[in-house]
Amino acid sequence: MKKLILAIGIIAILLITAGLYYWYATRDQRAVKKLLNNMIQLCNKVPSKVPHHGILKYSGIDTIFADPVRVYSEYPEFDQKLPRNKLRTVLILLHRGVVKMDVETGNLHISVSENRADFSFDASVKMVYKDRMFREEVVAVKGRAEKQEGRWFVTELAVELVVK
Amino acid sequence: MKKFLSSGFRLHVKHAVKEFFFPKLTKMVLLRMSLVVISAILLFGFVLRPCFINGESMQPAYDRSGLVFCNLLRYRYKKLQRGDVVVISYFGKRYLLKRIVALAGEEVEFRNGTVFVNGEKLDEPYVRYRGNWNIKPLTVAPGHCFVVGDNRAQHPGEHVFGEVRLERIVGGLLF
Repeated sequence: MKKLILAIGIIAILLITAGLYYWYATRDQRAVKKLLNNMIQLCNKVPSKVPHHGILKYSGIDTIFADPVRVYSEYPEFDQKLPRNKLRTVLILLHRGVVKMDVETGNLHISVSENRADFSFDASVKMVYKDRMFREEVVAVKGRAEKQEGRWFVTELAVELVVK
Repeated sequence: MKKFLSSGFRLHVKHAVKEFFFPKLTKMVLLRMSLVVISAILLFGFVLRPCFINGESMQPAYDRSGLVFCNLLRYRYKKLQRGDVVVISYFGKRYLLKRIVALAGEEVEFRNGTVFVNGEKLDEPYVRYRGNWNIKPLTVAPGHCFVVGDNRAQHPGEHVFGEVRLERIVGGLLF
């Protein structure tokens, strides 16, 4: 009986150690995943009757993106290092043109090495315009996040249409 | 006697059916079942992926709905060719079924619904519903190919077509 209790105890300790090790080893991956989720939430727009509703959320850009962030795009006006303020303006202008914007992601890959993480995912962007016109774009997003003073920030971002 | 035979036969069939669908779980039956399950997972997961068509962009070659099998190994040892019908990974579990009309480095253009590749008219016997699309010439970027559906009667705005990265092509159709 003692042997059985000892064996169960050892297995339990091993499982807890493995769990803790896994939790510790993947903490950066989870932090980057959370960062990307926040980025997606920032891009979403819900319809609202109140003007400037949710305007505060754009300050979230400061906690997501590095300053400046290198954007790679097929549009030359965006294919450059964009300061956070310009990025905020671009997002506000984009949101002004639509009533609703819903971003879904899939096929997420994150590879972390020390203070740098490369990520890629596909995003389906569903937009409802003011004239009720609906449009869906599917884009492939690739980018890099870096740890600066203990916090993760998106430093590079490349967005490309899957079918262009 | 006749009645007796027919009832005996019925009993035999009933027994055989029961044995087939609900066999006794012997070691051999479990082994066979495991083999069938593993083979199905390997076949449909890594070789022939079943896909449901939902849309009319490939009419008339492929109807607006139906089941097709994507051969995931098709382009492992074979190069993509113009005219091939390919399955493209779009978003999540959504795939696109399109035909390749131009490869990397080629110039593609639509003039009144007719496709021109490198300035030459492309023979497309598979297109029945030819629209009047007009798209300016563009050169397909390296690592890409140009795909389009067969149903050109659709408005270009409603039809997903254009350049696609080669790594997005998951395979070709089985038939």
